[in-house]
Amino acid sequence: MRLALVLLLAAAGPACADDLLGSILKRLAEPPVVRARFVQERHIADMERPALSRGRIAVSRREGVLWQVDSPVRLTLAFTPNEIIETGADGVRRLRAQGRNAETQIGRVMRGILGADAETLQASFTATASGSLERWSIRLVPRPREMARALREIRLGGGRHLETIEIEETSDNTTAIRLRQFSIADQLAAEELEFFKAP
Amino acid sequence: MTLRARSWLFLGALGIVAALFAGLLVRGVPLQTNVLAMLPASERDPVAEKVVASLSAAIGSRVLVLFSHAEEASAKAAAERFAAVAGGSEGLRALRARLPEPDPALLNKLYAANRFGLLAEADREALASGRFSARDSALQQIVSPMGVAVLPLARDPFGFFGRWMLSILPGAGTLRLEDGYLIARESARTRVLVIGEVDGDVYDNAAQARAVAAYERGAQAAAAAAPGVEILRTGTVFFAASARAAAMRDMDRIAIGSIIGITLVMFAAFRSLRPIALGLLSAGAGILAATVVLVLVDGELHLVTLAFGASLIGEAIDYAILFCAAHLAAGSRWTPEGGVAQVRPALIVAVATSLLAYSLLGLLPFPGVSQVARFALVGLVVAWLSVQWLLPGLLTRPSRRDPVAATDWAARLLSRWSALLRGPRAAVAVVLALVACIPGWLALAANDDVRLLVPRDPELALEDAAIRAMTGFDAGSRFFLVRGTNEEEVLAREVFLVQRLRELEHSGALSGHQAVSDFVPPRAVQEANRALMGKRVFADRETLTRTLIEVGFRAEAAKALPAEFERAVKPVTVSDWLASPLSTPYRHLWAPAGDAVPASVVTLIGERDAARVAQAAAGLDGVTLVDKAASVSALLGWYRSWSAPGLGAAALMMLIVLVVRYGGRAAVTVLVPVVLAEALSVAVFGYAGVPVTLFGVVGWTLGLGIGVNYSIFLREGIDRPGAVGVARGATAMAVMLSACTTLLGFGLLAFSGVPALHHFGLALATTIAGSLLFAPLSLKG
Repeated sequence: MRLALVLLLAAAGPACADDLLGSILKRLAEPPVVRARFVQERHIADMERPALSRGRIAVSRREGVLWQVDSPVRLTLAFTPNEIIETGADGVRRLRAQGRNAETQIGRVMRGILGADAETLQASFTATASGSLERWSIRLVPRPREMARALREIRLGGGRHLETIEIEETSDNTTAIRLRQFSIADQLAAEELEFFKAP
Repeated sequence: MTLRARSWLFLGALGIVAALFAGLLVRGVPLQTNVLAMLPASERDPVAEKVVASLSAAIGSRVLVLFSHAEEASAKAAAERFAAVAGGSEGLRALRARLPEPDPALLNKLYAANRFGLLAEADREALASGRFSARDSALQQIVSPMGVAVLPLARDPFGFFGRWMLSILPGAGTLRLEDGYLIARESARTRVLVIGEVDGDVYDNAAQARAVAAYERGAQAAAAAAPGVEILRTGTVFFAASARAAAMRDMDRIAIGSIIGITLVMFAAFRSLRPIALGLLSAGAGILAATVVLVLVDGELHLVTLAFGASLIGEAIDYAILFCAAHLAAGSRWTPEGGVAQVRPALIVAVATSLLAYSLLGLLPFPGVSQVARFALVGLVVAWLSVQWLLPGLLTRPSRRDPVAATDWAARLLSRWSALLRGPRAAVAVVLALVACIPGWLALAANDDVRLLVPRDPELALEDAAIRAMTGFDAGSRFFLVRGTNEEEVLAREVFLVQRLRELEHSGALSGHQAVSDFVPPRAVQEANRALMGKRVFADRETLTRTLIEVGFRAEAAKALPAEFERAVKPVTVSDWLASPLSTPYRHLWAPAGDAVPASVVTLIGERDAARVAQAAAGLDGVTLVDKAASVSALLGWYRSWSAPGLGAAALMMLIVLVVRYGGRAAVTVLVPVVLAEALSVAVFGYAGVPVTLFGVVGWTLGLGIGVNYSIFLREGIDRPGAVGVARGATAMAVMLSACTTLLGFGLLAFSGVPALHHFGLALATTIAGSLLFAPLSLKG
């Protein structure tokens, strides 16, 4: 509904920052399914070196976000509106989070970010966009204090697709995710859908 | 002693009672609105009974208010404004729109040092089955893009502690804690929940009034701060206050209705204000004395007694009516002494039968019903004494009206009606009436639901259901009680129960539960968990440290973990938990019957399959399902099922009194009208689809006592030796007036909003009407 309001304003008046944010999110959310490969680099306290991981991601407007780590260990996380389903290296599926607890909220945020869901993002963050529709960046500052206690800010960047995600935690841990090799599809593959099934 | 002196003495005593009553009024008549207080102990286990009381006090004082608005900011503003205004004055306390930020250090303080004994179920299974791989597990934690970390990753590298913490967080309802607000978002509306407590006892009149007033002030301010906000509320205090208001309304309506009705009827019959004044004085003396005596003896009046007391006017006034009718009938030959002597036999038989009926009621072990019975006993005895001692001194001058002219209409009515009810025609009519009753009897259905006792405001009930669905908070009338010989055994037994509840939650029969063992696992479980970790994770410290270093941890951090495991040997105990502020919302779960009794309570959230949930305790030692509403309903049903034999016994006892006075054959004819009336009344319940409840049965029992009076009055007034001709009309008038006043008193209860009073009133009104109609059957002819 807010998005509709934003679009209405955009049609009526001159371009403004909110208009850019709305346009970016609208464009990101257009394809039914986007797939990409990712490289993640985490800087964690008490760790000698940055932790690198690689894998694939599939964002479906209908099912949710599928996060598949291939190395250094196999791990698949499926973020649905109300749960996070985890599939380990042994192929055993289990519920990582369910209901209203904090972990599910994080899952919701992940879905909001990767799935460009305007409503979820606006509910949890103060979002500011800059740049142009072809080359933009968005800064997300958490609003609820429970989230603000753990999370300092999230920066997103990209063009036609979301290309970089940088997460800064209050513990000074940081995460940088780079996405590339995008492809668009109409629906998820059957083996991907398996990961969304409740254990 | 002269008549006048006796009257003055009685008035003096009445004055003292009135002064006492005024004193009570000034302090406020203590009115009990708690239904539980009206009921007998329904649990066989006294501990369970005690726990029910302590739990209903803990949960009953809670107040939940939900603010809903299309704009999130407005919903929050309304909640803030409400909490500020309603919480700013007395009545409600601990009102919070925004919860204080929980200190994350609290969790660490209570659990972190002893975390190696705490394992989520899935982790325990994985460790036990040997599927655990330190390397994979650590790497999965490291590569997960986001997670809730209670501790730095190096101190919980496999995520055991984090997952255990998640497993104990409440999962029911759609509410989320967001920015300190309890929020639910759905269908384009944002809802914000405010929780608070009643300042004082929920069932205390004054505390109730203050709490409701504080709510109203807050709600007004909230509506002003955020126009368009929708406010829902629930809490025992609102139900209790609305029940009280309904009972007060009933009482006002019934008292005013019956006084107006009685005045009009009496004026029509006597054409004088004096009998009305005397009648109200006599009935008023009875009710006043009953109120004062019961408040002094019991300390409080139940609201059902109050509503009942208002309607007792109708019966208490009967004795005065009989006396005034005798006055009218005597005409110029009236002497007060003669009048008293003339009505004495009828009054004694009438009072004796009524007292018998009420005493039977008083024997029921229901504190509420017994209070009603004692109220009636005191009230009727005082009303009767007032006719014996007070009224004669106030009614010394003979009536100036022509007795025959004044009562002729009643005599003619009685003659016509008796003529109809005479000979074979009467028998046929009676048989036909009874045959017509049969379908009604067959349609009878019983209902012992305890909720019939209280008028649950339907609007409040809807709001309550909406809030409960959203919050997962439950009313707490059904819970599991776990007992053992010590703390450890209670916790261990709880664990077995909780396992079954989790299965039910998984299959959707239940949405959640609250149990102490979730927060504090039994010592044995913690030690077993620690031993399991010792075996599967920390067995080889060298390898573990190497693995942690390999996945990227610094050497110091990798070495610190096994060292911490070695040091942490003390399990978390219930007293640790109780000492932590984290346990505040759950403290009522532990030792609910006092510290001397090792016990705990497991409460249920969102029961969708009550039968399966009830089965969860089957075969578990020390675990019982306590269901106050169900056990009370069962008890009500048990008493109701004894009602038919009980009514029979009451009738038999009255028959004995009647046989002593009239002899065998005549005694039966005196009893027949009221028995017939009861049969019809029962059929009316069937035809009208009104369920048979204990309260209907109580109505029939009383109806038996009152209905038989009319036959007695008729017989004593008309069939007595030496009765003058005019006595026929005067007695008929007195009986009709008595029935009318009783109908105007008790009968009005049939229109009460309280289901219990409604059933009571309907049973009584139909019985009285029937008794009046059939009363001439008792005349010799």
